[in-house]
Amino acid sequence: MREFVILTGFLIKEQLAKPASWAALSVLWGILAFIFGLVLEQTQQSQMSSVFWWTALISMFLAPILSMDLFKKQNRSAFFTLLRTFGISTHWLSLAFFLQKLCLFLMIDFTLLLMAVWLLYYGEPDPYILVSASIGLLGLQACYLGICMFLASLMDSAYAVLMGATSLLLGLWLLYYAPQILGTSSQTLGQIFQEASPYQHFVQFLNGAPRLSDVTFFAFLPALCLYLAGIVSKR
Amino acid sequence: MALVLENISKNFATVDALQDVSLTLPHNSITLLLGPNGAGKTTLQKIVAGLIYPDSGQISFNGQELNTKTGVFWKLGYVSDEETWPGGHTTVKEFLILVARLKRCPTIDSEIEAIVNRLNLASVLKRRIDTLSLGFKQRVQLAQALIGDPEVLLLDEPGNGLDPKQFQELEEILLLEKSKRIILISTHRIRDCEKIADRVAILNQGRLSQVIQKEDWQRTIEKNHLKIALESSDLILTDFLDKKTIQYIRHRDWIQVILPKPESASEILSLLNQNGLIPRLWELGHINSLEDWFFTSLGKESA
Repeated sequence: MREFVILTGFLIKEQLAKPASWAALSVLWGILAFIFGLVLEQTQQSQMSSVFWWTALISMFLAPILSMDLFKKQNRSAFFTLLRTFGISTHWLSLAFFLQKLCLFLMIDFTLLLMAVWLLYYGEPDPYILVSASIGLLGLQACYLGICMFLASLMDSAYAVLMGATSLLLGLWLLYYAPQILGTSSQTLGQIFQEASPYQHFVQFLNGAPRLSDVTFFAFLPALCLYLAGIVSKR
Repeated sequence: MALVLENISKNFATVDALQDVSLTLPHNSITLLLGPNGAGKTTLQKIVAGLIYPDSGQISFNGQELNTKTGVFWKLGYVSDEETWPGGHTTVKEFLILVARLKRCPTIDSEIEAIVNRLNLASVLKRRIDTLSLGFKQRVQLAQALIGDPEVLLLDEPGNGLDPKQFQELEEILLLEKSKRIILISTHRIRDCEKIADRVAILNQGRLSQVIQKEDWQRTIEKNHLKIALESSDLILTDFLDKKTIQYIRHRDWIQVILPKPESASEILSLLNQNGLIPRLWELGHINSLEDWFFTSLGKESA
């Protein structure tokens, strides 16, 4: 545990020391600020659901990029191998790398916090919905990252991870629309598919009405993915 | 004090990476692990490092069995053939501090200072590892492995990319370090490592074909020798050699006779003929270096 804390601290510090991280963050902050301004101007309402939605969409494409080279047989994977010789289990290692990447998502989400504060000051948004949507967004990002890390642990090629993970996340997003696609004939099946989509659970949080199943999903899926990534990367 | 590997086998899908490899690595010694590509050198090192679990076999250190399924050998330093630092903007000092903390060193500063001085890394301590020359990068790798004063040091192709001078410096460091630990080096640079090795283990197609002590190869170098592989028992031959006090080295399925004079070869072969022993294979040769040793051994294995 002590080693895990030391390593996680080091990895986060290392991530934030990279100019490339700050360049990417600046671009994303700029895009989100633009969307926020645009939505505000068009709707004239103090709500942020569109900004949350766009952040979720961006996260879907960002998660595969962040995890594509985690376990590939170069650079970082050699560091991963070295860390294993120190007696740190692959599960703790996977969690440390997961938290390093999640930290970047938190930095992106930070801009939403600023927007929320701005709205609270100038408008009358529902603070409960803002908090709920923020938690949902973080849960969704954790799910995406977990899935991508598991795929990264299975594949040697970084590009295969990128393509595979993006396709899978897009597929999971589309599952949300399963009831509409399948129609009334397979309503139950459509609902089952919809429940398998992380986006469905995010929408519940976004609407300020999270269920216990949504909280469980966001806690369970990343944990399962990391556990599996830990097992796979041991081989 | 020794690290003992017993009957280690490892299978990857349809490939037998290692088959029944037994090897004893004594303390205060450098063992070279030689073999062609795909012979299983890296697999064996990774098994010792706890990175890969063997399908069967046992590893013990100082008579104490290590759990190859769950644990890694704690007092171990590992130098991979890949770049094992985190990349990005990490400096040498940051990396070494991280390793020292992860290895739970009680006195981080003094330990790092001692290793940095030993490996002449003081001038690059605050530099980013990515910007260093290959020689310095290799020293950084070695420095991280030496942190925690490991009893076993594993080096996988430590000479990769080093020029002769850099390699010589690395050799000098390893010679100094060997007094305190067991060192296992897998390499292709046989000529370069010949000077520092105390023994050589040759892996071929996942099998340990030979383990040669330094004295053995040193007494054969620059001498004629006769390699004989017999179909049946070689007792008559070894008795004869013992009587004549002719030196020989018994290998797994052949005997290497170090000829005191070139004409001894015909004497030995006629003795075999007289006793109705027809050699499956015999070959007269001259060994100039450990590299010759290696190639002759591989050739004999293939034959």
